[in-house]
Amino acid sequence: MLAFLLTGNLSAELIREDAHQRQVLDIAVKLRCAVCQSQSVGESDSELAVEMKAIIGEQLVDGRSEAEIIDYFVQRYGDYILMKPRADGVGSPLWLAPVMVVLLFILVVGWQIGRRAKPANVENQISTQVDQQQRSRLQQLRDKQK
Amino acid sequence: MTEPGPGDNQSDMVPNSGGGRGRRGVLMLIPLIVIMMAILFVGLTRNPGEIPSPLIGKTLPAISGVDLDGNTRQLPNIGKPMLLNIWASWCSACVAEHQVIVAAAKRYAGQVDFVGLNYRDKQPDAKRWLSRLGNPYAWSLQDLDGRAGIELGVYGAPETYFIDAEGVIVGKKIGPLNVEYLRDKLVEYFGINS
Repeated sequence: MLAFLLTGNLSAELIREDAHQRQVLDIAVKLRCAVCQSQSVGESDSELAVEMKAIIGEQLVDGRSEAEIIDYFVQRYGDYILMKPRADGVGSPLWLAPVMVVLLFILVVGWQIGRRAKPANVENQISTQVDQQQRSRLQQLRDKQK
Repeated sequence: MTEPGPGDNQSDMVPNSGGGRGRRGVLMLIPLIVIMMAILFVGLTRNPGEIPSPLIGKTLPAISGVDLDGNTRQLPNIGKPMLLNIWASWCSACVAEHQVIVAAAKRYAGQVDFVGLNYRDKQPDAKRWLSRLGNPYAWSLQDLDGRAGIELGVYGAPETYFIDAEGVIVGKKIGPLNVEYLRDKLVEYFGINS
């Protein structure tokens, strides 16, 4: 019975530990490992990354939220530390630009199609108009020659 | 001959109108390409290792610890402009930079405090390194686990913070200092000439 209780406690402890580790990693993959350029803290085993993961773990135990922990690192390292640029503030053009390009493309293509649907009509009009004008001028010239 | 009617102009335009539209499209692309090239070239001249610190303009975070001789120390120390240099005996770039700091500590003695942050180092190694190359620092705080470094947003050694007499960080250099840079920045940040 005692043994059962002990093992029960132990596995509960292990599960808790596991969930904690996963939480740490969830946050760590959102932070750039400052010394390894394009890796996240979660993927890196560099000394700095290991220490940052330890800090994330401690702050989680202290009851800090993910946003608060990420902000802690941003205050010290700047937005550079974020793997994804912020969607608000200075980072917003980065997120909006592709959307704007696609919208602009659709707009231009739509406009071009709209224009191209007519041209046969328009050119016919112009050419008949021109024909008539030229014909009348030709007639004028002929009248003069007479 | 009579004056040219509007028909003359129009008859000229008709065969060209298709080609003109295409050419105008290409012309519209040129400023776009120029802008993108300009952004690319500006980007290429920038050093990805130099990231501006968000701490500039803020008070140095309070850091306390033990220096290499075992004395309790506290940052920021107010009263005099300070250079906080992050160094380590394992850091090869620090060796070359050290000559600059040793010379500057003599030259600016009394005007600027030179304080070290011994980053992720072993105390005996650090002390041996200083006795070999000279010790320009008033004291060097030990940062065994790199926690003080993270508090300061340190990427690695060497790095240097310029801190004014009120304890506010006014500048940061990632990588080794050289004589000209140090001289220029001491003038710029603290108005210290000579």
